[in-house]
Amino acid sequence: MSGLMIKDLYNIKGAIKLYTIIMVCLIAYCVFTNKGFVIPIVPIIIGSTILTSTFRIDSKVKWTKYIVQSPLSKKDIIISKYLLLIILIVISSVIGILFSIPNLISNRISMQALGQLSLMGINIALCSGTLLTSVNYLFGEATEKIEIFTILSYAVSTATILGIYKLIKVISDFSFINIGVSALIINVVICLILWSITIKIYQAKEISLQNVSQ
Amino acid sequence: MSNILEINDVSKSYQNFMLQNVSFALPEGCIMGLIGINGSGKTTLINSVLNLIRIDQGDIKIFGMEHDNLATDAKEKLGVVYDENCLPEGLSIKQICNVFCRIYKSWDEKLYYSMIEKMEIPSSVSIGKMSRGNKIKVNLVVALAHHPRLLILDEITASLDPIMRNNIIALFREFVQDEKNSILFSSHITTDLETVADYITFIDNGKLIFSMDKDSLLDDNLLIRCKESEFARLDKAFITAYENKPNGVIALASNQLKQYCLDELINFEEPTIEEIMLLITKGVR
Repeated sequence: MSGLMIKDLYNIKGAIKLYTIIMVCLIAYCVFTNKGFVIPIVPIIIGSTILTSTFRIDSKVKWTKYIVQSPLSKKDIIISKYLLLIILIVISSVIGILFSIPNLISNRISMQALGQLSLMGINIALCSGTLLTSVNYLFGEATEKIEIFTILSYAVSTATILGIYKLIKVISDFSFINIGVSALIINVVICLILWSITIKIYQAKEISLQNVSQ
Repeated sequence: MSNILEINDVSKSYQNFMLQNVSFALPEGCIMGLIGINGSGKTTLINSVLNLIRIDQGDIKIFGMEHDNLATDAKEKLGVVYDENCLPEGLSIKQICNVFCRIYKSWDEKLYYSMIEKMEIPSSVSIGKMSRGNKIKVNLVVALAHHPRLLILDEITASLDPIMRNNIIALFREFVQDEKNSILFSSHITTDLETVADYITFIDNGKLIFSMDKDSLLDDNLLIRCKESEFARLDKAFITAYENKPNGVIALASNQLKQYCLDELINFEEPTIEEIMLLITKGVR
């Protein structure tokens, strides 16, 4: 599985430059329009969408059809994507925190708010990345629709996470940071269930006929 | 000599195509050429062997194991090359090595780099910037660098120039020299198979026409070129297929007609695999 992850890391090297430019522009916009509180979320969302580029690259050369012949299993292929998602989220969370340090120092944002916003970003990115991976492998690696799926998955994930936040707020008197942590726990459980279902279905599935020449 | 690959009564149907009751075996230490015109079912058969598509009927065994339940160790011994590049195009030769050495326990880095050099593959550019032929060569090197026992090749030589095809054919001969390794080689360039294949399996319209050793195939058959009147006198029981041409008839016949042809001064010659394929596909059977 480390081979698959190294392959994806090599592949995203090119995409990282573009995503860095987009991220810097968005952060600069936030700074100049006094929306500094959004800064922690921006790198997490942008960073997690890098996963999309790996699906596109794999599909272009029919990588999955090729690599299933190796000692790696279909399970390994999917798990490597989920692990890559986690790595991207962790790194971009750290970047988000680092970019927020000037606002922290100038008291434009509190530590608590930073924690809350980072947690919200992590929740949305984890949920949408999981959804996108499941859709990609269960519905035939439909790369031509990957942009639409990406937008939809982030929209659905944002609605879902906000829904979970609201539900926890209604049924408990947790503080906002505790709501974030609770939502993260629920989110992780949902994602683990979705991962297991995706792996089980994909293992039994034929490699998409889109990827198999007749 | 045991069989490294066994295909028994395999069928697979699609909306407008059906692979029907195909059975053949590839012994150890042999090269089998899988021939047929475009759309005959060669790739469907290969995809069935590789479990990319589920067969409707029959069974396939690789290294004596069911093809859809191969152990990890067995997969280490399987090498596959398709007719198009399947390696990420942004990666360099070195990066490809770094990826695959972590996938295959039997990965041989020294062999990988020596084959890259031997095949004159540029190592300073990424896969995406290489020509189509070089991309296929890299795919072949990756397949060979983990010491497989069975190589499955789907129309790989079509993109290669004649000199490189020659070099690769020599590589295949070397590969099977130990009499333990085998190659299933799908190709419509039959001249390549004539020089290197031990067995020929011919698929036409989803059906197995024959699977036999190449020498017997060529020795047991004659290509007769004669006038219509001469053809009319031939014993049709020994004619496999024929085609009417403006200047006569071309027929594929059993070599039992050889003496008759010599006596009647009818032209005949040893057929090529391509001629056999064309007559059976296009001719009257």
